Formats: sequence, structure tokens, C-alpha cells
Amino acid sequence: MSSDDWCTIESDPGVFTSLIESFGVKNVELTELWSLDDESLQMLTNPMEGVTASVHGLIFLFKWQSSEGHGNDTLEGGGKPLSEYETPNSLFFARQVTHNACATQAILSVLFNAPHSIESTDDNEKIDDENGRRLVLGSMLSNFKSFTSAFPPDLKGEAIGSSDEIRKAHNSFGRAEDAFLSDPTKQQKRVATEDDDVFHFVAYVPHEDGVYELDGLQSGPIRVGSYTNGDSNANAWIHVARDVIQKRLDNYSPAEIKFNLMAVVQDRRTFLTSRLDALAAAGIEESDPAMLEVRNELHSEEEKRERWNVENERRRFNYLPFCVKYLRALAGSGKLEKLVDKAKQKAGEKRKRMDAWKKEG
Amino acid sequence: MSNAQELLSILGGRHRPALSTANPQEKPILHFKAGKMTTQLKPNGKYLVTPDTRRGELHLVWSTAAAAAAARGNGGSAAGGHVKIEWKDRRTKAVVNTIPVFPGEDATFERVETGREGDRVYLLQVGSGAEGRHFFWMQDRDPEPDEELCVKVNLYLSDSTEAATAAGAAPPISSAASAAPSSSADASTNGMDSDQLLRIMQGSLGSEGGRAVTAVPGSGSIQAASPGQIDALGNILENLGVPQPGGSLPSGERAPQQQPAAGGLTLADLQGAMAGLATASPVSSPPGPPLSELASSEIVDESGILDDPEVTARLVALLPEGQRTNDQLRENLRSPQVAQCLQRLTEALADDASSFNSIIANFQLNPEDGAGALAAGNPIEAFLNCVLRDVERKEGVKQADTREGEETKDGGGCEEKEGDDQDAKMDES
Repeated sequence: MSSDDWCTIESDPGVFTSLIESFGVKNVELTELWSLDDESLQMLTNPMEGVTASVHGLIFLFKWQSSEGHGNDTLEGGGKPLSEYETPNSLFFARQVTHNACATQAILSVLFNAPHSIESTDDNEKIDDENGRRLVLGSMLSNFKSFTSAFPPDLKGEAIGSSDEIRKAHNSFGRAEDAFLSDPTKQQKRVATEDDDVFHFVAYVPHEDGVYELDGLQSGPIRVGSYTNGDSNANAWIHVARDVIQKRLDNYSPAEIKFNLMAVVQDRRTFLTSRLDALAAAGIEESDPAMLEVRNELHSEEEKRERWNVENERRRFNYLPFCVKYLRALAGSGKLEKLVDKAKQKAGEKRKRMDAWKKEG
Repeated sequence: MSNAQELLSILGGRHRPALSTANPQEKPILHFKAGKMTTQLKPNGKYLVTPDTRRGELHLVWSTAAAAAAARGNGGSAAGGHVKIEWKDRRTKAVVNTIPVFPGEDATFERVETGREGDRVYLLQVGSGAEGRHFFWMQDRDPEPDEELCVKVNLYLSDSTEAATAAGAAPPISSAASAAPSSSADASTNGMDSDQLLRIMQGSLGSEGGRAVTAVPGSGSIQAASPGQIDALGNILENLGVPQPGGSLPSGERAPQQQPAAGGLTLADLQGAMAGLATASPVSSPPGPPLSELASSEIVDESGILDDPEVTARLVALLPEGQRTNDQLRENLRSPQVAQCLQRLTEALADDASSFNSIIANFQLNPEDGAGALAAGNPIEAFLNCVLRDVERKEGVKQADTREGEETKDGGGCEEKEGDDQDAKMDES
């Protein structure tokens, strides 16, 4: 396959959110879950008392600490993948085709399966998204979804792997200066090394009355549990997913695997804004603590987004001219030799600390 | 326990320098640090020889099925064996090139005059013709042993008996214990003379005035042996008739009693064992600092460049569009993205010669400015030298000790119009 054409990207909520937005998706962001305990899940689904935010799916990413013999293995303890006949028609599942695309593929798995999402083929169309509670897929992904709806899983995966649009968006978060650094006569692509974010991605989504695990390395989706789908219970499926993940993790020690959990959730800003509207409509004053609390939260969210923008701008930027200019400036200071000696010393100290730390194991 | 055994067990039991013991058909004769060079035939019919920056070793090896017989100290008959030259990559520990020298073939190892002072380039010519031409450059920091090594290499290349004997005189350690100390014979082939031993001991044990024969070029300090190790070595050296290391004996002076080393210890063995002692943690990264280290806050502050509004302005102009402020300048210098970019630049420079050359060309620097450091195996330093010289020529460098408030620049007084363009423009080949 054209796996050379997909570069590695950072597994960061800011990167993924921006990636999703570049697909034309609206009302969605990714957030990191620091723990699987009840409190963390509560924060996710009920960030404000009594009001729930939509959680469209969970993305579980893990990495083998030593790749010996694990490489492409998925975690033990999963159930049996469903065959094509057993898979509900409306459930989107794609087999993983290109490794570097696996993050994007997991995200797409969540987006294509998001409950109550709105598929629109016209991006300018005015849509009632219920104040942001509903995910809007955007024209590019809506078209892709309907185009591939009848494909078997491996063909769906191939379609993702060969989609120019999706690949371009993905690669725009890769690194910019490689072209200048490598000898054009050498076929040298940025290859993931051990230290890179070589994670495996597994998505968990609710679908009708079941909770499904979508792992591109498996032959089909795995039904891991059921839940009652009701308005008051819209996010109950998350507990089911959490229990499943917890059980799988219990088989391993932290030394064996490293993992992250991200949730694909409703854009926090729309959630908070509708909260403000609700409070105002109920006659609550601006100076009321409840109002102020929400305003503060909204302000934090805006700052977070600003930070993400700055970071993403940096990720997409080719710093090579800047770096060389910086080194020239150091040379121009007349102190280069002294600074280089100092740098060597610091680097040596760091190496010693690393070696000592490694020895302690 | 014989002295040799005792000595080598203290030195960590590394009695087999570099070469793997897996192949019983091969016995090492000698080895030394050397880099290889690539030869390209240019359209004008001349050859362009460029150094391969990899840190390597040249090994002279005696290759035969009859090696076992040689090891038993039968004097190593020359029948059925030949000399082999191997070039090994010190980082990967893999043998990269093998050059056999068959009996009857002429082979010489000679210094090449490049016209440049400081160059230590040697030509190994096996047979006649261009295919038998191999250029190498000495990588050991100390040039003094070069001549002697050259003489030895030629000796073994030209005389198989000598080569076989030298190889046969380096058996595994168990035989060293039982073998009788070698007879007076040629000290320079069967063992080492005390002069060499003294130099090695002094250098590797880090004593003042000693030269570090086994130093890795460009590395910082060499780990000295522990006091216990030095004492034990001292005892052994006494028995070998060599003055103690750390003494006031200046290097090069002959020891009072010249005795060849005890049973079967060769220069190669000892050097190898010393390498294990002296440089306990192998230097696997390039000697120059990782460039990312040069962007630390400490270095930024010490350089004082952010106090210079001109410099700051030029740097800000090269930041991402939404971040062109002085505050953002500091933030960007601290960002993981800048660190990663510098890290990748470091890796690309250290990767191989073509990668290095490509970068130098892309930034329109003059490769000659870094040739010295490059030949010494330090591409990072070479790059920085190129940058420094280029800045001197085009923009001027501040005098380190300027008078208060005054700035003197040498060369190119006016604004660096040319310099700016060249920084921003890059070869998008």
C-alpha cells in the first residue's frame, strides 16, 4: 500500500481536534482522560451539574514498552470479532491498512459511528445541531461515508488509505522540514522509531443497544457489552466501555504497556454557551456565582483553544530557516566556542544521568 | 596466574579486542582506528576521494584453516593462510569491508601527501589497478603512532611468516597461561616494547603528561582507572620491567629494563583491553553537542543575542505568522518543535557524508571551512565552523570582550542584506 505517503503525527488532543476540524467536522473536540475512575468519567459526561455533554466515542491508545514479539499484537482478552454478516449494517468498521494512518482511522471510526450525527453534503446549509449537541460530519466525510457504506471492512480501510483529501489533512500535521534535510537522491522517509508515538488505536462506540470495540487489527468489530439507550442514559455506555478497558489492562503491568485514553466529545465551548443561555433564561443574574463559574470555564476553554492554535501553527511550521538564523546569531555573538563547550558539558551530564537512571532500571 | 592473565582479568577480561571470537579460522594481528574514504571517478578522468565520516577500525587478520595449529604456538606456519584486511564500523560493530591479500600478491600501505597539513591519509594498494586502491584516514587523536603502525602493516603485508607469527602469538587466554614466555626474538612483532606499553599505560590511566592512545577523537575526559586497578597494574608492570604509570617519567623515555611482555601479550591485545578500561561507556553519539542543546534558556541568555534588537528582529521575522513578537520568540526557542528541528538537523549532519554535504550546500556554506573537523569525525563541529566562518565573512562577529556599549564588527560593516537573503532562501531540490 501507499504507507510511505502517510507520515507520523503526534497523539495530542489539540492535533486531533484540528485534524477533525480540517475534515469539515463541527461541534467536536478531543479531550484526554487521565484516569478510568468514576470521577473522571463524571467530569467527562456531566461537566456541569445536571447537564450532560455528548460523548461520541472513546479512543484508547496503547504502546508496547518493548516491541519484542509484540509489534502488531493487540491486547489479550478481547472477544470474538463479528463476521460481516453479524455486523449491523449501519456500523462502520474498517480494517487497518496503513500503520501511520491508524490514529486518523480510529478517529474516523468514531466520527462515522457517532449517534445522531448530521450528515450534510452542503457545508453552507443551515443546520439545527441542537446547540452543538449533535456532531456535524461535513460534506467531505458525509460523501466518503455514503460512498463506502456498502464496502467490506478491508475495502473501507483501503478507501481511507487512498483518500487524497484525508491523507493531505493528516500529513499537514507531519513535520515540515524533512524535505530540506534529506538528500533528495536518497529515498528517505520519516520512519517511526522506537521512541516515536507508535501507538495502537482502538475505538469504543455505542451503537443502538450495544457497545462495540473497533480495532483495525481485528477482522471485525467486537461487541463488548449492552446498555439501555435512553435520554437520561445517553452516556451510560461509557461505563460499559470503561469496565472492558479496565479488565483488559489488568492483564498487563505498566512496565509492559503505556496507554492513553481520549474521548471524542461535544465542543466544550458550545456546551458552556448553552449553559449560559439556560441560566440566563432561568433569570439568573450575571453576578451570580453560577454564572461566573460558567464564564470562567468558557474563558479557560477559549485559552485552551488559543494554545492549541499556537502549538499547531508551530507543528506545521518549517523551523529550519529560523534555526539556522539562530545558530548564525550565536556565531555572531562572538561567544560560540564558549557556548558550544557549555552545551557539550550539559549534554554529557544529561547522558550520565540517563545512563545512571537506566541502570537503576 | 601469569602476569598476562592477571593483567587482562583486571582489565575486565577483554582479551579479544574488537574481533569476534566466533570464527576460529581468523586470528587478529593488529588493528587501529581509521576511517575509510570513497573514491569517485569524475568525468575528467580524475578521482575524487572523500572521507566517510563513520568512526571505524582497520583490522589486520590472519585467515586460515590452519589457525588452530598456529594457536598452539607452533610458530604459525605460513602454509595455507593469508592476511585479510577488514574495515569495521565502530558504532555498529559490523565488518563492512573485507580485503583479502593472497600470497604472491603485492600489497603496500603508504602515507599519501594531500598537500594539506594535518591530513593523515593512507593508501592501501593491493595488487595493481584501481580496484585494489583503498584510501583510509587515521582517526586516533594521536598521530604519533601512525608511522610505526604503517611500518607494521607493511611488514605483515609483505611477509606472511611475520604475519602468521604475529597472529599465532595471540592465543586465547588459557593458552597464554601455559605458553612459555616467548623467546627474545623480535619484540616488535611478538609483543610490544616497553616504550609502547608505558605510553599506553600512562595515557589510558589518565596520568598527567601521558598521551591518550586509545582516546576517542573529540570525546571529553577519559575515565581513569580506579585506585585499586592502578595498584594491581602497577605490580604487574613492575614485573614486566616497565616504570609505574603516574610516575614522573615523561613519555617516550625508555624503561631501565627492556623486556618483552610476558607470554603472548601483543600490543593489539593490550590496546583492546585498555579501550575497555579507559572508555567505559562507549560514545555512541557524535562528539559535537546535539544542536538542540544550544537552544536552552541558559545558552540563549548567556549569548546575549536577545538584547540585540537587530538580531531579535531578524529572528522574529522567521517565526510562524501569528507569533512574530519578542515574547513569542522566547517561547518558540523553548518549544518542542524548535528542539525537534535542531535534533533532526543534528541527526542529518551526522548521518553520512552525502547528507552532510547536502545540508552544507542547501545553506550555501563553504564545506572547506569544516573540513578539518569533518576529517576528525565531528560533523556537528564541522557544520558550526562553516556557519561561524560564513558569519565572519558576511555579517561580522562581535569581539568577545567589547567595551561597554560599543560593538565592533570585523568585516562587512553595513546591514547584512546578502546574508539575509541567503538564510531565507534554500535549495528546494
